[in-house]
Amino acid sequence: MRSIRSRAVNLGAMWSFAILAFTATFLYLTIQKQNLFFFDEALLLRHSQLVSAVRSDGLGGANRFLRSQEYKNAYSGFYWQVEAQNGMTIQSTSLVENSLVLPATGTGRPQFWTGSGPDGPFRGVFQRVPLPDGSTATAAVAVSLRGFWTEAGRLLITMLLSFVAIGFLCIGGIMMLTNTALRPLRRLTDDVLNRWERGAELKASEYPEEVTPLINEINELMERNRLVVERGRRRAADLAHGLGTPSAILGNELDKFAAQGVDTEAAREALERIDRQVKRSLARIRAANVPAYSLGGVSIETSVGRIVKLLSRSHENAHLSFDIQNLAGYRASMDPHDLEESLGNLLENATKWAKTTIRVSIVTENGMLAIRIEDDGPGIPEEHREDVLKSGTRLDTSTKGTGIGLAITAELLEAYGGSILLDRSDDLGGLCVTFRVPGRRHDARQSGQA
Amino acid sequence: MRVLVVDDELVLCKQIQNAFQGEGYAVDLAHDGEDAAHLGANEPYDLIILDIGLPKQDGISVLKAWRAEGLDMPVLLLTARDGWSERVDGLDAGADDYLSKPFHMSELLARARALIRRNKGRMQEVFSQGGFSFDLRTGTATVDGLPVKLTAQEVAVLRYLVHNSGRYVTRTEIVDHIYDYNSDPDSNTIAVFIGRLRRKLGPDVITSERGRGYMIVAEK
Repeated sequence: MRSIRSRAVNLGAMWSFAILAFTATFLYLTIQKQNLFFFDEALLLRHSQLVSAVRSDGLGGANRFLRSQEYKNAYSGFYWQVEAQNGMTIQSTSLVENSLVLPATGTGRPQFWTGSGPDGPFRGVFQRVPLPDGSTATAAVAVSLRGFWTEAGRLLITMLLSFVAIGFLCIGGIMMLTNTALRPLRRLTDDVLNRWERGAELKASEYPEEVTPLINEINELMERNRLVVERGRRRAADLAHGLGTPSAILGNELDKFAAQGVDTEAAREALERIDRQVKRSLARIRAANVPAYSLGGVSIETSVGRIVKLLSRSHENAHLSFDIQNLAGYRASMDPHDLEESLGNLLENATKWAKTTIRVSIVTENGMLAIRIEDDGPGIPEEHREDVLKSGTRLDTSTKGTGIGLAITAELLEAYGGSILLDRSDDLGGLCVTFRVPGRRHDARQSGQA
Repeated sequence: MRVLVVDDELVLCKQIQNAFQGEGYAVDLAHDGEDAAHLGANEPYDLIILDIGLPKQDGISVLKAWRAEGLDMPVLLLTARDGWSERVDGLDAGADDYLSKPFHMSELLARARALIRRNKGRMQEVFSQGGFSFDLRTGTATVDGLPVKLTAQEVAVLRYLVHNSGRYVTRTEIVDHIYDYNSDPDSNTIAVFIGRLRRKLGPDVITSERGRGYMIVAEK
């Protein structure tokens, strides 16, 4: 569907064009009518002078006009002609050898006619005039329309230029109006897109009343989404609690039987399979219930710090040093638990393989945050890298774990539109895990508030 | 060593109790947050195994209350919610270790031993002093390389003395740490156990001083 802006501008432009075209036509025709009226008035004045001369002095009276310069020059555009009843005709020298062809002999009142003269179309007026000798003659005056149409053309061009300019001004005005009217909608779009940073719900009072119902609906949808996600996650937690304890009890009973010499290996293996499946399903429920927004994003520096503090407490990691690069100001648009779940799984994996050093760094890539966890362990050969992201794949069974940590993390990150990439660390020589999550770097002032 | 196990699942509590008793620990049980808070604040436990999801008062708030009161006994959190955030939150609340359900009893016992050992400032699982040595994992003692047969109570007394080697402990303190809440012990029985231990281990392993109690000299 076309944007409101282009629809408003197109419709406004079309409407403006229609109004301007109608106004221009109406104005042009009115001015032309007025000009014709003045033309005719001038024509009548010339004609009345000829008529009064002929009426008082007969055909000889018309000869006075022969001396007038404008009737003298050939094809000057100003012509007169008097036709006596006896067929004698005298005319202005401007007609040269032509004569005016009158449509009729005329009446006692002046009549207008339009015809074609020696220099193009003209407009004339003729009238039957009584002569002093008692006979009559038809006196006609004609003026070329050449000047009239030249003026009309000039008027048309001036009007067209003026109305085109007005049209552009109208379109500019429409665009300004549309922009002003759409500004709250643009802000709403930005606010909805940046809801991770905003955190809080949209305030209806900050938008025009026309969009208030929409704001309320968005708020309700966001709230409903939060509740659905929360409920989903709570159910997963309840399920974990409901299954974890009986599984522990069953395991302990099996151990008791095993201590008595009963072969419980198959049962123990089955129980462990159930535990792995439950863990994986719970992680899937978690990934399926990714929240649409969280409160202001989550500080990566804080989350990494928390996980590293936890891992550092373990005596098994006493030989490791964590090299945490500058993570200040980076905030992920994720649920904090999900970010820590991903960081925890990946960092714990690094502690299992690293010899002495684990490095955590971050860069911004194409609007996403790329968090890099490198270690100086043996790394993973290229041909096996894809396998370890699949569920339950363990390349080495000498370390603890179910082998589903990386797969769970990959699935969780995918739910956020993120990704995970395994590579070789150029600096440390071991594995380099790069995981991309939605988020951005906030400036110092914003991160200071975090 | 005396352990408090807190979980609302009675069967699991009983299993943990049996496993720990089998290793010579005195075990008390609590099934809700309020009982746990009371017992933890009033009994001298060497370790508390605390479930997070408890009726009446959740495990984290019980733990925070203990720490706020200045109680520093080691606490191992047990929970079915094994997320990293929950783990960090638990340790931030003052827990010393974290184990998620389902777990192997052997792992719980190993972590419990390590926590008690660390709390007492010990790094090694085997205590050696002169010709005497005591394995804290198995509760077995040897003198000059020869194994010594000990009863469960004797192991309990010896384990407490070894964990507190280098300082005098009174009979009452030993009673408090080797008997559970429901026992009705007489502190004179401790003198009987000490007498038996001296006979089995030699007279010099456990020293005593009137008014101060008994002591095993610390490792050199």
